[in-house]
Amino acid sequence: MSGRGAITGFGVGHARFIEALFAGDTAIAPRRRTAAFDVPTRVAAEFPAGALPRGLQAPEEAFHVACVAAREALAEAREPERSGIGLVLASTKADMSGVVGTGAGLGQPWRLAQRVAKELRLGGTCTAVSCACASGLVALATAARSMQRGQHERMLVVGVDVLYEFVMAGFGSLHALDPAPCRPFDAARRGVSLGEGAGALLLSQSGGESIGVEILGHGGANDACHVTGPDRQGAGIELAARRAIGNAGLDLSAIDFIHLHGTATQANDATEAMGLARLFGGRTPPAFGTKGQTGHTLGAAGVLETIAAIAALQRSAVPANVGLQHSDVDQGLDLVRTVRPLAKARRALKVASGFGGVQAALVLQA
Amino acid sequence: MTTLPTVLAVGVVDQERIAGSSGMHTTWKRLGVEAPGTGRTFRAAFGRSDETFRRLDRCSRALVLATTAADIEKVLPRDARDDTALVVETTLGCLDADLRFAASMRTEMCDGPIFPYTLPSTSLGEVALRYGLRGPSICLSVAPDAAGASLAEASALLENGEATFALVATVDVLQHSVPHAEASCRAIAVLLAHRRLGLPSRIAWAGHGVTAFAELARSVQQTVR
Repeated sequence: MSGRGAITGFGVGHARFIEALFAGDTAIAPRRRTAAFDVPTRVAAEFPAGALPRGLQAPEEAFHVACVAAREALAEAREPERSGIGLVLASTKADMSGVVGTGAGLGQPWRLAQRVAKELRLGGTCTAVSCACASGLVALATAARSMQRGQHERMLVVGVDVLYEFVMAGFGSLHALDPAPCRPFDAARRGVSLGEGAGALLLSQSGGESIGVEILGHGGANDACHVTGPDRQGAGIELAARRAIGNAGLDLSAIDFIHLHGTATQANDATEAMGLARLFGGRTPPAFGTKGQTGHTLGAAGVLETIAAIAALQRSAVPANVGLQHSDVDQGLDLVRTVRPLAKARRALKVASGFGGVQAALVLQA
Repeated sequence: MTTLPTVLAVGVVDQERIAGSSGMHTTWKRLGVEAPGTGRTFRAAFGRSDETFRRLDRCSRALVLATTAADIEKVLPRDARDDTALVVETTLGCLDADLRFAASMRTEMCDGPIFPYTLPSTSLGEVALRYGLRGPSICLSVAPDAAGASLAEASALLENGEATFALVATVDVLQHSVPHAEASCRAIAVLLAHRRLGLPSRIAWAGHGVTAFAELARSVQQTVR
C-alpha cells in the first residue's frame, strides 16, 4: 500500500476518518440531505455539510467523491507517474441518475470507472467490480491478482457509493433498516444504517513507496445456499477467511486482529461470529467493525474498512465496536468494547459479505 | 503469458435460441415466448422443474438457462464444486430490475422481492446455489470494449491456484430500450478447467479478447450442427 484517501460521513480525508473511528464517534445522524426520501429510518451517515461543493448535482456526487478519495491516495504516494496506473473501481450502483431521473447514469459502475480514469489521466487498464457489499475487498483482490501477473506495477482501487432513495427504499422494502442508529453485534440490533463514502488505496510493487502495510493474501468463497441471507452456520465466511490466510502462507495463530463485516442485521452478525469463532477454534483474536460509525457504505465499505484495519496495524490498537452494549452472538468472537492496545499487531484479517452469497477476505501485514 | 484453460462446456441464450455444447438446442419461436422466457420456460425447455425459477428476474433467468444448456450439472464433477470459481460480467448491469424497482417506488408499495436482483451478484448467487459452487465469486461491470474480461479474470484465478474450475458468464438482458441503452437478451456461460487437469475439450478457444464469448458461442452452433 502506498497511498490512502477517504471521504466519509466524518468529512474529507483519511486522517479525519481514522481519528473519528478511534475516538468512538459516529457519523450516523438524523437525515438532512436525504430528508425527503420516503424510507423507514430516521438516520443515515451522510457526507457532512461542506464536504461536497455547493451546487453539485446528484449525478456528479459519486464521480466527485471517487476523485476526491483517489487524489488523496495519489498525493500520499507522492504523485507517481499516472500513465502506468491501472484502476479497479468498486461500487454497487455508481450513478443511478438515469434510472430515477433523466440523467445518463444507469447504475453501471464501468461508466463511472471510465470517467474517473479519464479525469485522473490513469493510463492503465480500467476495471469495475460490482459484488454488492463485498465489492471493495473483491476489487482489492482483483487488483492484487493483476499485479501478481505483471499487468501493472501500480493499481488504484477506489470504492464508492452515495445515498440514493432507490437503495435506501430497497433496504427498507427488505425490512433491513434500523429506524435508529445501527448496533452491530448487539442483542437489540434491528438492521443496517446506510452511509455514503469513497475510499481509495494505491497499491504498488515498489517497497520503497510503501506506507508500511501490504496485502499478504486474499480469498473468496460463496455460501451457495441463499441469495440474500448468509449460510446459517457461517460456513462461507469461514471458508473465505481460511483461504485468505492460506493464500498468505500463514497459520491462524499469525492473525492479531479481525476487522469484521458487521452490518447489524440479525443474520449477518450471528453467522459471521459463528463462522469466525469456529475458524479460530472457539476464540478469535480481538475483533471490531466500523459500520456503527460510518454506516454501511456498500461498495465503498471494503476499501474504507481496509483503511481502518491499516490504521489499527499502525497504531497497534483496535477501536471499539460502537453501538455494542450486550452481545448475543457467539461468545467466541472477541468483540472489543473500548480501544484496546495490542502487544502485537503485525497481521490483520479483513472480511466482507455481499448479496449472492459472495464472501471475501484479505490478510494485511505491517 | 499464461496457458489458456480447457473449455469443458458452453451454454448460450440469445434472442433466437437456447443452446449448449451438450447438444441442447431450442428456439424461442418453438417455446412460444420471447427471450428470456417466463416462469414456465425452464420446464418447457428442459423437461424438468426448477423450484425457484419462477421468481427470478430476467437476467437470472437467462443466466440459469445458459448454465443449464451447458449441462454444468453433468459436466462439473461434484467433488470439484468447493473449488469452482464463479465470474460473471455484464455491461447493462441490472438495468431491467432497476427499472422495475424504480417503477414500484412510484406506487403504494416498493417491490421488495425484486430489489436484490438490482445487484448482479444476486444473479451470480442464483447460479452458485443451484450447483453448490463455493469458490471465489466475482462480478465485473464491463464496458463494451472490455468484453471478455471475466474470462481473463477466471484464467488468473485458475493460474493462481485459487480455483480448479471456473464457471464464467456474460449476461445482458433488457426488455425495452431506454435512453442510453438498447434492448438486449444474451447470456453465455462457459465452464473452464485448469489445463493441468488434462481434461479433454471438444470446444476450440482461440484466446482472450472482446470477441472471446462470441467465438465460444459460435462453437456451440458448430457442435450442435
